[in-house]
Amino acid sequence: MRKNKTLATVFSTLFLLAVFFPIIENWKKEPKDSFPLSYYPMFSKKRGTYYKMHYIIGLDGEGGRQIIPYKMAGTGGFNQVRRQIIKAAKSGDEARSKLLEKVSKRIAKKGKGTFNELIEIQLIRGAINIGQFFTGQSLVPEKETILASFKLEGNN
Amino acid sequence: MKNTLTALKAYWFSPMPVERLAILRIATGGFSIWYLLSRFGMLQRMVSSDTSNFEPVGILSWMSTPLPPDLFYVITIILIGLNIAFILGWKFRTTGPLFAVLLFLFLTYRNSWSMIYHNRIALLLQVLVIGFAASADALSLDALQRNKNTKPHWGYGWPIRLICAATVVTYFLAGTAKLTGDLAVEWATGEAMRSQVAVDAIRKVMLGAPAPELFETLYPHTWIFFVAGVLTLVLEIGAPLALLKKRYGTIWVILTWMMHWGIFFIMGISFRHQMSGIIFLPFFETEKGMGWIKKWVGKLLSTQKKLEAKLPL
Repeated sequence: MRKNKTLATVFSTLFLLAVFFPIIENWKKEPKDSFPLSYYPMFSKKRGTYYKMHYIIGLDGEGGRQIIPYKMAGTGGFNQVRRQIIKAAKSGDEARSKLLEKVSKRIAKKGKGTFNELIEIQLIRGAINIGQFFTGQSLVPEKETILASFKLEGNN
Repeated sequence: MKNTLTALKAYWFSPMPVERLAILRIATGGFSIWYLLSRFGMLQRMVSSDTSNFEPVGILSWMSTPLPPDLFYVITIILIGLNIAFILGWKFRTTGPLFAVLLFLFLTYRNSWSMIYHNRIALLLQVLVIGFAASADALSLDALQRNKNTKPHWGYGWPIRLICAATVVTYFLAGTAKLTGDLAVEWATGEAMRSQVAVDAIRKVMLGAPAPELFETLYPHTWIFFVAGVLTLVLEIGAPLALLKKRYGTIWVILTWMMHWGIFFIMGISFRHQMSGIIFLPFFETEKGMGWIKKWVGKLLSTQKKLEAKLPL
């Protein structure tokens, strides 16, 4: 292939066809992304007025709430951990409890500090009004459903 | 038809300097070793985490359980060793393809843990082509040991052409997905793009990640998102035009590179391979840059010698 034009032509053609091939996913009913042959679906999904997502919050004894950073919930980059949270939230009570237990352990490991006042953590599914969120009208999701909760020991 | 094929053949197999491919080998290898070393700890933790997060993709779809973490550790070490050989161009006929194939499997495995990182695809495509081409005939240990051909040759040209073509195809695919998706052409209107970016920012706020400050400032100005949306679509769908003329290629590279920096400032997402410009190196005559550096260093050294000669002992 290094010095053979026919081999180089075959390699080039197959390589480009393989990279281009995932384009057919765009016309499938249930498109599937893959690696490294991807159809690059990011930023192609329609967004409504509300954005629904899963997140974890911590509650203190006085009713205050605090966002639990994604790094406490999983290993990997931001979007990777976000997907792990979604997966646990959609996998039923056992997976949800397991996730919160893991978060509680990480909070305990951190010791005193940011999370010292927390007495409970919750896995939430919330609906956020996109427009209001960024005009400062509402920094708290309009609708929230508590999917699971976990009492933190030693923080009461 | 015959004329088109002849022109295409002449384009694809046009001779290129041996250094261009060699510089690309070193730059791409340098990026991949930075990735492997900087993510070393995180990757080892990731493969030791909850196995329910393992969702094999691509060529590894057949796997039902993840590899033992100790085996993954050994594979990572071997891959780093091969990466070093790739950069140095040592026994490249063996280490080049070996590194390319192992990186392919490694990155596929890495992307099998609940998230596909699209920004690593271009890196892998570059390594796959460079690894199987004659990329170590200059600026390498192999070239030092043997008397390699240093004249421009088509054997150093087609891999560069292939990488450029594969790169523009990936951008074209991203544009096609936007046009054929739920939003279709609406994607280019300011409102649609703004909501895409807003969702990303909301995710970051609600999951305790640093939210990009610039986005909040820009949010009320829909026209900015309109311009950005249109420009993104033009750059993605029009990417193949970059192959037609050198000037088109240069313009496309500059604008696309700026687009990635724009994404970084507005969304806080860093596509390092793209932002560093390494993905776009094949579009340029990088060996000329090396010539300038040589000249500049030569001038600097001669000035220093002259100054030393003038100084009293």
